[in-house]
Amino acid sequence: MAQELIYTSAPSGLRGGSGGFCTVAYTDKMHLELIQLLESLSAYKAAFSVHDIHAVDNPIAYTHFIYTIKLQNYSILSRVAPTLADHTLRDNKLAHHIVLSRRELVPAGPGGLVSDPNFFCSFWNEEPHYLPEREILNIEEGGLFASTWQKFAEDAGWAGVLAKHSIDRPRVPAFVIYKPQTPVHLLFKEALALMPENQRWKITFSTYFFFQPAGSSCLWRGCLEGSSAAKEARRQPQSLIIDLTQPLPVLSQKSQYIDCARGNCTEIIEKTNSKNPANRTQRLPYQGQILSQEVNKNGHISPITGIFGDGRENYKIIQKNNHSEESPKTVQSFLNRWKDN
Amino acid sequence: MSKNLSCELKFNIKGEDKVVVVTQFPCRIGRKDSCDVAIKEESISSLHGILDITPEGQLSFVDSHSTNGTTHNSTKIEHILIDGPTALYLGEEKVFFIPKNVEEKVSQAKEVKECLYRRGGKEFGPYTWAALIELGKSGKLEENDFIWLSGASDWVRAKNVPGLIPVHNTEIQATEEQAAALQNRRRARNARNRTLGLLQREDSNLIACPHCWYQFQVEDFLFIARHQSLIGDPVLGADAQQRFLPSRFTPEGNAIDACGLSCPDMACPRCHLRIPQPASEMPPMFLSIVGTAASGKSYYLTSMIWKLRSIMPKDFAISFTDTDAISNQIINEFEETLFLPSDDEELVALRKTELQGELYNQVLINGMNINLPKPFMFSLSPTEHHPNNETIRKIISRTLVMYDNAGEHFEPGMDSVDNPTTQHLLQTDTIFYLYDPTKDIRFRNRLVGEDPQIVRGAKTQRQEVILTEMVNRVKKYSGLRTGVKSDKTLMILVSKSDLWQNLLDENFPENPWKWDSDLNTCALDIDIIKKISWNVRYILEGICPEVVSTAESFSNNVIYIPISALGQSPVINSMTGMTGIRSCDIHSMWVEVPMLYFFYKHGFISALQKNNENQNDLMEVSCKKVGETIFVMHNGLDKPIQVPSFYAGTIIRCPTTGKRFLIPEDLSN
Repeated sequence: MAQELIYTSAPSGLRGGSGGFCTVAYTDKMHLELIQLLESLSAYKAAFSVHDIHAVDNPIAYTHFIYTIKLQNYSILSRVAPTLADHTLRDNKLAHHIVLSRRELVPAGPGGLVSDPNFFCSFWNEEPHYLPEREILNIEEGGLFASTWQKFAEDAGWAGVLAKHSIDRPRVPAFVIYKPQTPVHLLFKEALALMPENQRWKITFSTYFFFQPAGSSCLWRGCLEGSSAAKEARRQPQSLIIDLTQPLPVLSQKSQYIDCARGNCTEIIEKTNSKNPANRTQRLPYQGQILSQEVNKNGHISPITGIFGDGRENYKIIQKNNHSEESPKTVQSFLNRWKDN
Repeated sequence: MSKNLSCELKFNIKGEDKVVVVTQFPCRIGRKDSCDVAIKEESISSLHGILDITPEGQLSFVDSHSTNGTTHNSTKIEHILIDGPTALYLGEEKVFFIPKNVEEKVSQAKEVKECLYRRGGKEFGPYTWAALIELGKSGKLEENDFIWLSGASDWVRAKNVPGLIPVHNTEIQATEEQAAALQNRRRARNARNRTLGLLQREDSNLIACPHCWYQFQVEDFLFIARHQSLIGDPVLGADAQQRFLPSRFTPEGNAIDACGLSCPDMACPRCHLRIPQPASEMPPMFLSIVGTAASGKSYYLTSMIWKLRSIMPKDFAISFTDTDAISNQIINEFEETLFLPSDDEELVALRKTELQGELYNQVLINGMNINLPKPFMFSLSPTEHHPNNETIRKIISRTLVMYDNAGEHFEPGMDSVDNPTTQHLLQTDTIFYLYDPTKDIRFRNRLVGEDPQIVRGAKTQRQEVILTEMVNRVKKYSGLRTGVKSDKTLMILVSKSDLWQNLLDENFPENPWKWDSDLNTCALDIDIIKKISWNVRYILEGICPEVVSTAESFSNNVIYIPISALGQSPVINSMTGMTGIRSCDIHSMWVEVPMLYFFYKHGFISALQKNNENQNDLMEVSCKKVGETIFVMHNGLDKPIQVPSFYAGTIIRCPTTGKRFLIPEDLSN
């Protein structure tokens, strides 16, 4: 069961004597270390002053961070957003954090959960109180066509570029620079949907990146145009930068991810763990050798399975339905690209 | 046992042996005069450690995160029980700790003839005490042998029995090694200093980090790699440029990183955060601003900085500039918001100070995520036309370091190891405490105006709770004993004075400073500031006496100053329901005065000559000083007025009769 915490400015908090910015609700018996961590993730920086006519355009920060507490990994999904005036007639924010242990990592992935309008609390006017543990249910996935990317990048294929970047270079951050009112959480959801289910929860992100929390990575960073984070992004030549505020170049590269994002195929590339014996088909003689073919759940022969000799995870391309089949040439070129990387 | 416990400290300063007997605990040991035992040696930290008695009645010494650490038997320690005569190195200085009752125990044993020693499980003896000493002198008795003296309950190590093992036997080799190491370190330090070209304070060559307040030697500075491939720091995270201890330098004194780039930027060896070079050259001067949530600390800080930028060079011949644009980016934004908006008739507001985010740096120290407040740093130095430019340039050239804490940080229970955001209280010698009269219902009832903060039902808060918590934290951080007053100056800034200045009997001038033609600068009118302070104190004593008593039980140097950051009540934006202010309406009052007084106390600016007020108009009073309180009596009073000795030499007004009288300066107890 998941734990959660709500943090805002209120006359009094759940901890005796607290007031102002404080925790007003959390799951009963939550560990103090976790409470302190979640409070530290409640930062918000308004891009527009409260009296500015553009104040309504202040972005909402949806984040997914991964932390290890007492040897256990937690995925923390958060929503931090400006809210109505507090009791001192000043600006306020509402932060809602949901902490998932491994059992709650549903296939929809972090993108699917944060995009569910009922997942987070967006208004608070209650007295401080403890919360019961929360059950996390999977969200029905839509198709792979990245309609939000199509709208804001004019080519849905950019969702595939983002997904492939993190598959190919899992530690290198990617930046998406956007204008106010861009639903970055939907952009991230669509890009995550292109990734294998077991990869989705490895992607940490912030739809409104303005500070890097210590102790967790942030691989996908949504940066509001003109912000210092957006300026910083341009100083990182190794990172992927998708600038939605400028006309994007025509995508010349080809990949399954791009095709899927454009709705040209309904396949996803699924990653399996070579360390899991169930996924192994044969011992590995040397790097890059193609080992076998296997039959998938639908009774079709999956094109190919490859395992690499350096102990890295292997890739298995499976068909999701019967409509298309990857040609061996494409698969081989894909494998070669991976090998080159 | 602990009731009669005392401890003798023996150490050597510049060739002279010193002996101090400590009878009161906890006892602060360090380089500063404010410590109970001050050992003025460079390698000893200003507060090096605390000698105390444990609940079990044993003496213990706890290192207070000193820069050079405490060493016992060549091992760095943080905490040690002193159960017998013990030699500790505080930094590079050797100090003997001799618990008095142990010595008594030993001397009693000396009278008994039977002594044994044990080595490797075998017992030798019995010997007389004299014979045992001979064994020690001859080297047959070793420092780690166990000794039993008849009547004693347990065996003790020979090295812990005073007079048994000659010092030169056990430590001469170590001393030589230490001396050589010390000399090498000093040589390296001097070489590095020459390379870096850093200015040092005369009394100490320690650098204080404005981020984490860690003090370190100049040679411990880390440099920040510049090459884009040198990314990833264990303390700051994967995105930060690497920090490194350099071995190569450019002729300009910049370090050279692993990829051969010249790196001018330096960082603290503990928190790895960048320290601007001017801040390393000019010693920091910390200032803490304390107050409840929504008391207006950010507005005050912004107004004060804005005002000081203009008056310091113009009126006091001291330049006041940003030490570094990056560090002060947020306060600069605040100033732009309030004083330089694109339309000065539009409502503006400073955002509510958060407890995390842009005002803090998150670092990973000892496996813990720690939030450190971002400091605002300003460089102070005398301008060329300053009257004493040549003589005081080095003294006045300082880095003023301030923080914009959220009021929530000062609430009880918020001082956690991962959130040490108020530990600057230990570093500062002056604390600004912002008292907000609109938060106190007793005060609010006497306020005038249409301020949304004083309408019926607006939130109130007990502010002395925050003051008490602040006092407790200062005592906790500094090891100050209960009942002992701090030597820090506490300024109670009673804010939003535009709402309550009608309560003041004194008229306070717009600027309490005047041009002094002898100095070619302005000089501060200390008399008027003290008069106003006395007046404000009287008002507070009548409305919220607990604030006055809490403040004055903390320090003897308490001054009360009325201020108004905006000089105008905020208005409510009907669209958002939030308060804001129009830039064109801002007329701040006395926001710079507390800082000017702070500069005056530090000798940066001068005071006006005493006002020759007509002494004939003054009322005759009889004064008696008891402790730090002066009892003033005159005709018509049933009981004397109690005036803190801080006001000695000042002409103040009797709150009852309204007549003025002079508190003599030379009163003795």
